[in-house]
Amino acid sequence: MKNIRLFVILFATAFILGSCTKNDDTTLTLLGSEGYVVNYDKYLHDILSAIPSSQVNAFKEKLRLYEGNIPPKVEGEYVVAPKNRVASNVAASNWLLNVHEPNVYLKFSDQHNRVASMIHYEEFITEIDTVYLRGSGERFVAYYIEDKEIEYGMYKVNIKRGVIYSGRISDEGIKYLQYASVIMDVENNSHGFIDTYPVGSYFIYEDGSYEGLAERKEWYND
Amino acid sequence: MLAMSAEMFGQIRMNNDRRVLVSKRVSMGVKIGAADAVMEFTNEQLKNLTRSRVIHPVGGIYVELPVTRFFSVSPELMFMQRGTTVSYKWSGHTTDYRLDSRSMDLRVPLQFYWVATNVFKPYVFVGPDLSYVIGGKISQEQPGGEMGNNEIEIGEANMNKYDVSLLAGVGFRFDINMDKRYLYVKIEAAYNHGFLNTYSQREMDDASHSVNVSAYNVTGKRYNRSFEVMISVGMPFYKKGETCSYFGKRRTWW
Repeated sequence: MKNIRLFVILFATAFILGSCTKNDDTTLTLLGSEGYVVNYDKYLHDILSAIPSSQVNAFKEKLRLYEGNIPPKVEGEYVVAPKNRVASNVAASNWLLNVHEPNVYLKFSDQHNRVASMIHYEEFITEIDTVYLRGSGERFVAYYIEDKEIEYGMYKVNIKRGVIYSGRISDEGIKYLQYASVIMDVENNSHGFIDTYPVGSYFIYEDGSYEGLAERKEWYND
Repeated sequence: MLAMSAEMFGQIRMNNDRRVLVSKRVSMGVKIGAADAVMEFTNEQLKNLTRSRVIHPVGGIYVELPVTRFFSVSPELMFMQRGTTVSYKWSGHTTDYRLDSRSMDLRVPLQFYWVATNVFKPYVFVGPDLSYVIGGKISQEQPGGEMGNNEIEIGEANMNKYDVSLLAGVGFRFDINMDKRYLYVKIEAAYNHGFLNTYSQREMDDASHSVNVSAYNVTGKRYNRSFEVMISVGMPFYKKGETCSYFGKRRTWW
């Protein structure tokens, strides 16, 4: 009986010791020669599917959609200044090109496994829990889909839009930063306020500074 | 060879009755050795990478409970170390990955003896091994590469804490006649085959943060495999002249 007790005590001690091991949330990934494939590109495909098929190639020629399964670390805070309009498929009379818009402030955080959290501050702050990433080396594409409510006086229109960011990470910030907004769905538009921007409309912007650099700059205060 | 063993380890006792008693004593002892470990991957990319075995010291205690002269149950509590090393090229850089896990294992091998002589007893054994991971480290070195050098501790984020494996092997027991006691010296070689996936649930859910790359997706499974060589020294629970202990008939020690 003593022997059984001794065994039980020793095993219980081992169990307690095991319970005291470090318990953080990190791992060290063993990669194969080509890395792993995560099928997040479905969401990007959904965004591109909203654009009329005859215009998708034109969209891809204007927005650099880098490929790859292991994007760089994009975590950080950036300022897009100046934010320039560069391309769209809506009539120029309804969306003038070569216009400078107010600065855009971006923050990427909690990046892991091709996803990250993001804060986009333009007119107001938008927090996005899950931004999907792809790319390789210093090149990345980040994208998400959001439901957005737009107010026109006393009326509100609901849209679903896809947003895509593209650029190259560097020590100074994100070079050649571009981003696009694609309208994927429109609801409550009975008053026709956004008839000029139907489903499939896209709007492409870029950082208008040298090398399209969205500079690293701490701007976000909790 | 057997005669030499007898001379080395003690006097051969010729009394058959006494030999039976010696064989049926409950004994307890310590065990040390080395485990030559590797991990098996089912992912097609990972299984083709160059893996090396990792040799670790291991040890523990055991109790041998004879049921018959030819059959014993021998539960043991062992401190085990397992893991693997993998070397490969990533983005043109040589990368060395190493996983060393430590665990406490409760193993219950069933031993089947062939009583060759009163001193020399070969046996085979097989039994379950229940493993509980208590720590360890995972490291990676990629000199000059973007992933750099990293080292993290093993925990729930990066390894399944439990494993169940099958232990099977062969051994030799030498019963050495000491002055007041008998000493049992056992030499064993065994193969240990893990059945549970050693990836953590959080890794499989893509919920753990990888410190070396910004994206991963665990696919397939990872299993422990090891070869073990052990030497153990034990004693029966009685002195010469005292009543013998039995497991099964007379549960003196239970």
